[in-house]
Amino acid sequence: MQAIRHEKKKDDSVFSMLDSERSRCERVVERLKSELEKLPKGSLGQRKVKSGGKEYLYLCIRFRKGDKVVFEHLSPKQADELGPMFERKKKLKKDLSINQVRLHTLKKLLEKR
Amino acid sequence: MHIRFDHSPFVASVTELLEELSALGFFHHGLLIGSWPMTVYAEHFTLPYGLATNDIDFAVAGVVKMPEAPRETIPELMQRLGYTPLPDYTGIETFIQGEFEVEFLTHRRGGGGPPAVTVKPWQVSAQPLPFIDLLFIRPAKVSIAEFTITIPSPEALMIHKLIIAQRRTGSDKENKKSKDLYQCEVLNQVAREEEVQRILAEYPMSKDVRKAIETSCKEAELTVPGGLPWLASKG
Repeated sequence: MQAIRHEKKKDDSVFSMLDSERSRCERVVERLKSELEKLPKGSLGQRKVKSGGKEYLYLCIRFRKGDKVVFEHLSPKQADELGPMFERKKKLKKDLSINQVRLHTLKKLLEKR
Repeated sequence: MHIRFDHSPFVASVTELLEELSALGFFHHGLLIGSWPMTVYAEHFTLPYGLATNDIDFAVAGVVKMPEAPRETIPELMQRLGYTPLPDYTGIETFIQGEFEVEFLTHRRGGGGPPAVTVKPWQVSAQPLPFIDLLFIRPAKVSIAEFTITIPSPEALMIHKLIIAQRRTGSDKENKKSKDLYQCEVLNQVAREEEVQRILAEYPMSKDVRKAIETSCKEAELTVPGGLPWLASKG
């Protein structure tokens, strides 16, 4: 009887820990989303423009506006300023995706309780 | 207590982080805390505990005097290892790398104070919390192949968790309390009576703190080695 009670207690503790981890993961996801909202929209890219038989490469920000993809040209100075922000955005998006997968897995595990 | 491992009991990315912090000299003034020391004790003492959450907490001594400034601050080190700093609205900064979230905590005296302080010379933002100083009482050294880290002794960790289990707040408090008490049960299997009694005798505890320990012991159905001295003196 004692052994069964101990096993039950242990199972409860494992589920509590998973549930606690789910809460933490949810908080991380929310914080990552909120941080991403503070960063510039779109992504940093290059655009080729042909003019006078030559091809020019321009740095630009690409973003979607309705059905269209909009390109906004950047000066080299703007690109230097925005570059680290887009690097951070890329990293945060990757972290967000990893944590969303983990959150989904934790929720599935907890459904089995 | 000095524990030695030929191979790391941690996953590769955590091992890398610990090795880098060790090389920086962090563990002369800091500890690995939270659930991760349980991984060490479970491995070393063959305890029935195989879970670790993905938040990695470190305790850092509030006032650190070092002979010379470290070659790198902690935020610099974290960013070099691919961790992204992520502040929250209160100013507490954590570092995210994939599934892992790293946070620094420091001891808070009294009841109030700012939600985050910057600890020199590491230049790291740490959240001040009560009872962190308890974890620094005669900590255990853990040598993993070529490097050494420091973690709270099993006794200090257990007493700390017995206290904080009753002080958890927020929507997740019941889960955290359950986790704390389960860890206490596991640690109680290896806690040394002499060290438990020594900590209980030397660490200043209010009536409320003693009551919290008593409640946790009752809820976890455990008796700490040697018992609670204030109960014995009551007769």
